[in-house]
Amino acid sequence: MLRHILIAALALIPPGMLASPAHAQAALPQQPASAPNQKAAPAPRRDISGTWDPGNGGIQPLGPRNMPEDGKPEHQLPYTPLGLETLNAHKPSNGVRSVLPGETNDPVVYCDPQGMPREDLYELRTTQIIQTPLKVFVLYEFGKIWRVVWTDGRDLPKEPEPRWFGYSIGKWEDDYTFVVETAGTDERTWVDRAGRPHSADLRVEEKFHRVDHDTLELTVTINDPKMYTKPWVALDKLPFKLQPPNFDVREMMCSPSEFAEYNKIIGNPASGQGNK
Amino acid sequence: MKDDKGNVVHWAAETSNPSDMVNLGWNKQSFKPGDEVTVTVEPVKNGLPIGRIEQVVLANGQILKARVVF
Repeated sequence: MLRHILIAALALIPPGMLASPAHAQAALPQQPASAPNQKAAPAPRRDISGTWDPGNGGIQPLGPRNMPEDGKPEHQLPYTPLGLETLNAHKPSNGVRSVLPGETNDPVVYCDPQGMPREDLYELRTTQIIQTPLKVFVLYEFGKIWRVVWTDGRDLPKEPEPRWFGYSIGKWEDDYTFVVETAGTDERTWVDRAGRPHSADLRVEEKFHRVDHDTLELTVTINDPKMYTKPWVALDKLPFKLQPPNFDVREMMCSPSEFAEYNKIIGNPASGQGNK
Repeated sequence: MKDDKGNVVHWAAETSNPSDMVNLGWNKQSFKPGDEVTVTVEPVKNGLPIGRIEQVVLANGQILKARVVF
């Protein structure tokens, strides 16, 4: 039930994170987006550089946009026994398995890095892509995180050391589709906000398809035989719109001190845990 | 706010993150201490004066929404 209150000296919580991401080619300049009432120009060849906005479709509070944890049978993932056991050990503070704010063990709530693929699957905001001759940089608004995708023809390492964001290589599937493979991700991260698990054997495929000059689509496929009996598509052609070159990307940071203050004022009292 | 008996009750209310709030028209000058505003909140279930803001109506009638539509 909603409640209307009239207050003097509004005690708002600072809106931080309290509510609780081919082969070598020459660098390409970022180009301006088309005017609003103008039909988009054709996609440039082998170019996904620019500042891209997925709109609210990238927020994904219940899990990936195409596979949210909402209790619907069509969104039930093909868990292995280990996958189900690991899922049940994860206590998200959103979705159908949501626990109270003070009881979650979501690592991102505690300001751990999202890692891959969660950087694509939760709070995916304005994203900048920079192409250089040997690698592609992806710069994310959430956490001010950047990733490197190697495009110098190397293979993924056979036994990669674990990293929060794994180890990524990219190739052009055709002139408008850039495919990134990622391995070696840290097992401590969750796949998404809903607590879907992954193992060190996880492989993530990201397919960036430039539809036209102003539109980029992202498809993300999860493949982890230890946790899932078959690959599943987390994002299916999530559209991004190209922003003007002078677009100023905001910052979106997780602050441990803000989180402590949030729990003291809101999270713990709301969870019946006192003001600690 | 004042409760039914006239006692002042302090509420704590949360919003979304800065990116969302700026998109919804909020800024650091939207409020200052002492402003009288009307706040609609979704309260927590245990009855404490805590909640999530749905919207704020400023003294001049301006409405600031606080919920993002996915």
